[in-house]
Amino acid sequence: MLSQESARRVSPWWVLAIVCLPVFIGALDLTIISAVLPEVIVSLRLPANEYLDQASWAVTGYLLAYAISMTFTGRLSDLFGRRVVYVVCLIIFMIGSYLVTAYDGDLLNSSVARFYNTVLGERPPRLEVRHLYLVIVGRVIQAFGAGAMVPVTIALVGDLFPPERRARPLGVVGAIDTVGWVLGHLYGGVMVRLFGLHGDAIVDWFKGFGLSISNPSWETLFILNIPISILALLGAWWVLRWVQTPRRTGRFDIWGTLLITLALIGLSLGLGTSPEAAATASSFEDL
Amino acid sequence: MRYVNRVLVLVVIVAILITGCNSEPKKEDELPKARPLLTEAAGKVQEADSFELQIRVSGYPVRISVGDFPLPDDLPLIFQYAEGVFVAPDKVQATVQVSLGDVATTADIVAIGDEQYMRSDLLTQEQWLKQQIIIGFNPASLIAPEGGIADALRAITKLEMVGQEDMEGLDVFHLRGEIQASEVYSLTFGLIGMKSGLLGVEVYILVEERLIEQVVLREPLPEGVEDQEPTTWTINIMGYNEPFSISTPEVGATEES
Repeated sequence: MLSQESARRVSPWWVLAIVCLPVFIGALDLTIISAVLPEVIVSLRLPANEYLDQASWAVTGYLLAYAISMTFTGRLSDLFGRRVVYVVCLIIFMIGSYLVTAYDGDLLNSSVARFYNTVLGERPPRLEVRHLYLVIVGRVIQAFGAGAMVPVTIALVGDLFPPERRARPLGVVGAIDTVGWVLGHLYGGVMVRLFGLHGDAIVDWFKGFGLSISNPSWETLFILNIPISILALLGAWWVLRWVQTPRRTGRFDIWGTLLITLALIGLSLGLGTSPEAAATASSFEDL
Repeated sequence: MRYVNRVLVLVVIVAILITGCNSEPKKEDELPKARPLLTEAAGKVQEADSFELQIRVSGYPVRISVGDFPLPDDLPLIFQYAEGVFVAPDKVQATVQVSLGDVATTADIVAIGDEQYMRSDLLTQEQWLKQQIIIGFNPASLIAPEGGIADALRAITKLEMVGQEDMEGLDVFHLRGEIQASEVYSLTFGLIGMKSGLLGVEVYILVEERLIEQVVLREPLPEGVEDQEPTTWTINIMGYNEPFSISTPEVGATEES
């Protein structure tokens, strides 16, 4: 509930509008990658016919992490407060968005190679494959943040609106989430096409303002998340201070979270595996 | 008490980290001499029954031609990456990644003596063809006493020991020098663009095993080319004396058949 003083200052619908912006962006990113995946594989200098299966984990990994994150972050916001959990998740989403584009960083790549050489005791994959793995890791981190914002926003509806008026805002949150992932594929495709056709014109347009930017590409789509998320973060930090989160007692169900995480990963691996591989696999690694 | 334990654990971790970070590099007189070290490591390549080879190219693109396959001038075939296995005395099996425009594709190549076979989805519809892909290449040249990998490494001039380093978790000696372009044919499967002139070379040798781990060649830009990174060849040698086997492919067969 908003306190009486704060209710005069800010409408609950304004609060909802601000916190729903990252929900929309996070949902958009669910499907954006499916449109730009061929572009990603080309820019990583990998043959599509051999690496499409691995690259598809940039889609599956996001969906999986998004779903896992949704299962427990609502409860976390009960225990630690909506504002803190929401803002932390938004920061995680921003870090993930940045990491998706920072796949060619020397430090990250040498860390992966070091992990293979020292921990796994085997030779690291070639640089381009490491780049692909880092894109996937970035996507998973992104999804942990994006998925978390949905249950926290739904919980916020409970805090902001009385029970008899919750149906409409809950519908709005659901619709925004759905519209995001419906539009993601279209948005990704249109933007990459636009960058391909008018990349030079965009660069020249920025030059007109004295700004020097590199040619836009699929990475630009993820970089764009950052300024939007910063605006949303500032807005959410400001409006959520008026929202009173009822203090809950009890503990966080670590075992339940772990079990549902493992179940979702298992289900995803199982369904994603071809029948032939499933029939002949003798270990998880074979899958 | 629980917090005291936690603090103690933290102190131990920090101490280990600080000790790790402060490990001083070896002094110059403690390091082995560069030339005998390189000769020893190169000898192990020449004596190996088998080894794996990875070649990665970055920077200015390396254009290649594949046998008699006609390709348009404005759409050159660019070499990107190769990994393969050499089995003494004269067998090589490799997967070579090339790009044609924006499309990257791979080709499997088997070379046994003077005979070469290739299979690629783009160029041969996944069928094995007997074809001279790299004209005049014989795998035996990789370990030939004259012109082989070991010989190329021994031909490095102005050799100096840079030091003992941690290369992504591997303990290596780092050597640096120069090499004539004509000497590196075997190291690059004859793909290097330069026919003459000097290239900068860095060699990394595993400290314990004294085996060549990586060779990095820097090829200067061709005349008239500016604003591009020079071509860098990163060659990794590994899997010494592993039990690899290479057999002659059945011409016309695909993977499924």
